[in-house]
Amino acid sequence: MLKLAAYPEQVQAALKQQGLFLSLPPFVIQVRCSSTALADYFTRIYADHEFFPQPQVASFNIELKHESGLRRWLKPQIRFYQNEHAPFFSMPESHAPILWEWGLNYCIAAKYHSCLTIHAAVVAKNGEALVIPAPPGSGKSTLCALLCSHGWQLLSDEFALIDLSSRQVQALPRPISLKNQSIDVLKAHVEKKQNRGRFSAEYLGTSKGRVALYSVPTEQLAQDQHSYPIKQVLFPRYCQDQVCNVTPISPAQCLMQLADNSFNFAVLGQAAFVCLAEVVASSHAYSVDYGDFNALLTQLDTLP
Amino acid sequence: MDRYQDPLMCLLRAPDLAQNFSPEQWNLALGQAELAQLMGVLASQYLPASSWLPQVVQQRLAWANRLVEHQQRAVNMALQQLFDALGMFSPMLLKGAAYQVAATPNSAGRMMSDIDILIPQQHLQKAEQSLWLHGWDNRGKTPYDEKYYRAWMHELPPFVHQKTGIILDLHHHWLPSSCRWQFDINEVCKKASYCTESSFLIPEIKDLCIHSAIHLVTSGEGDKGWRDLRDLYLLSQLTEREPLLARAEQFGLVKPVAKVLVLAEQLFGEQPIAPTASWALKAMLPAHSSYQSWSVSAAKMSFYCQAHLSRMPLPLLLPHLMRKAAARYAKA
Repeated sequence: MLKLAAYPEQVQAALKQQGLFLSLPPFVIQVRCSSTALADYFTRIYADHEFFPQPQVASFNIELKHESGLRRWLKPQIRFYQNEHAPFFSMPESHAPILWEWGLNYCIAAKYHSCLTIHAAVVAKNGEALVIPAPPGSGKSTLCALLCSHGWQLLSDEFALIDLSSRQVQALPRPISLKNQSIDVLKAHVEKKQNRGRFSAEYLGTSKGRVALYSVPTEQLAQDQHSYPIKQVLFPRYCQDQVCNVTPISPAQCLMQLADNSFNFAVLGQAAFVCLAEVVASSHAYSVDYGDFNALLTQLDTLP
Repeated sequence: MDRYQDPLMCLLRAPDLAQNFSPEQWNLALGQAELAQLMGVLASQYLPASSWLPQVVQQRLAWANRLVEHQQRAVNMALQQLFDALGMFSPMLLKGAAYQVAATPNSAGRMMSDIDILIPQQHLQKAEQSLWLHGWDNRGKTPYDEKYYRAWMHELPPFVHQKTGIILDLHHHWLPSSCRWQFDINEVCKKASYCTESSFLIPEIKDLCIHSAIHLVTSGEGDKGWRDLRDLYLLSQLTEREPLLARAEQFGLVKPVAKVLVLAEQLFGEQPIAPTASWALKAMLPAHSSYQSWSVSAAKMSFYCQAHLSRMPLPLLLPHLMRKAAARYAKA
């Protein structure tokens, strides 16, 4: 396998022809894209990820395709296809990276059933995982990015992938998707750091507002294909007028909220319930209202 | 069409050939299978001895298998609730739900999009009210759609369960009231029986075959043709050809049934494909770009039109299609 950053020409050519076979364990993803916007993004933001030079059987077959007709020349739009099926509206060509990230999220949420999938950010410290489930807009990605620059390792900012038998959570490190003011907060924050990670361009006027993707420095990434036991589950809410108010919640309540945030709890049925019951029995759960990140960071280290 | 040149058909018919598949062929075959709604079928066929398959193939089949298992649980649960609502009207299961409950050979891994139930027409109104009381909702159609279903079709507007989102079609016949073919549906009910697992009636095998064939011909949905022809082929193996056609004759359906049966046998049986069947089989291809050509589009269009013509006479059909086209245009 080859690193994306080292072979920009091959990446670009593959995307336009038979497809780039990206390794993103546990997935192999075939991506084709008729626009060059994605190739630049891949070689910069997915720099350390690897691809196969030869065609592979793929978990997902993804294509970002120009919409045909006059618009192609006036105001080019591209659309996301997974196996010839287009679940979203088209977006401006320059937004190809966003479309790729959201599209891949869709594929994992809709099709991946080897694990229990929960909509959550996951970070780890000392080999144990902290799961942060939250609805969009609750500041989970920002919190996740900030934690990564304070000694935590990134497993995922979007998915907790919980193995049904080991009940451990798998790493799937990808760029963190930041929205609106979070981008400025994080840029100001990492400015002072030595090791900064990389920001993508900012994409304006998406359905979620202004979006940028942030790839954390390599040493802040969890190990590929590595699993971690879950130590804590945190339900955060950003409130400007609170410093940091942590309330423990019961295992039963935690189970219900995890199930609510799960994509495939119903599909997996009883196996998912048994798995979550074990998870909440062996971890601690808290709900947190916080306005001051540093206060939360100190508290986190003292919590069981 | 050469059945062994096509990767998906190879997987369905001749597993040995798949041992030499390249990654590109696998990607193509799995993509085709997804669009033809046959991933679950492949999973049931290949997962029991899957160690020789490429790892990602195993992974994708396992995902499909999870969905199939989920669907089976969901259907069983919905059937229990439906029996509470419809039990007093001697309900009969049709299509996918009937295959699952009777565990026919085509049911392993088969995906379905809704549950189909038939009850005698005289109970229709009471049954509908009972379904409303049990959380199944079919309101909110336009006045035209209401009229379309209630005046001309063989089913009520589809019901959706408020909590589970499962879709139910409540039929009083196999064929629309405006259909070119008509027969006495009571004949089917007389031969139907209870299967040990269920409190619902299940049509006898010959009738399951006839319904499967006739549904394909009148729905015009060629994109799911392979799944439906496979159903018919496997079901028809459980009975003899002569009695089956005699039963179809009794309903006045022998012509359409025999025609579809030949297609099913050509595609999944051992005979070579006759040149006369190749046009009809083109209409049955999955909606994957690898099958696209002008002749496939033409065959699909012609199949669709014939299906609609069989459902409604032209004076009724033309205004209906124009209305549908206008509604689609307005939506776009």
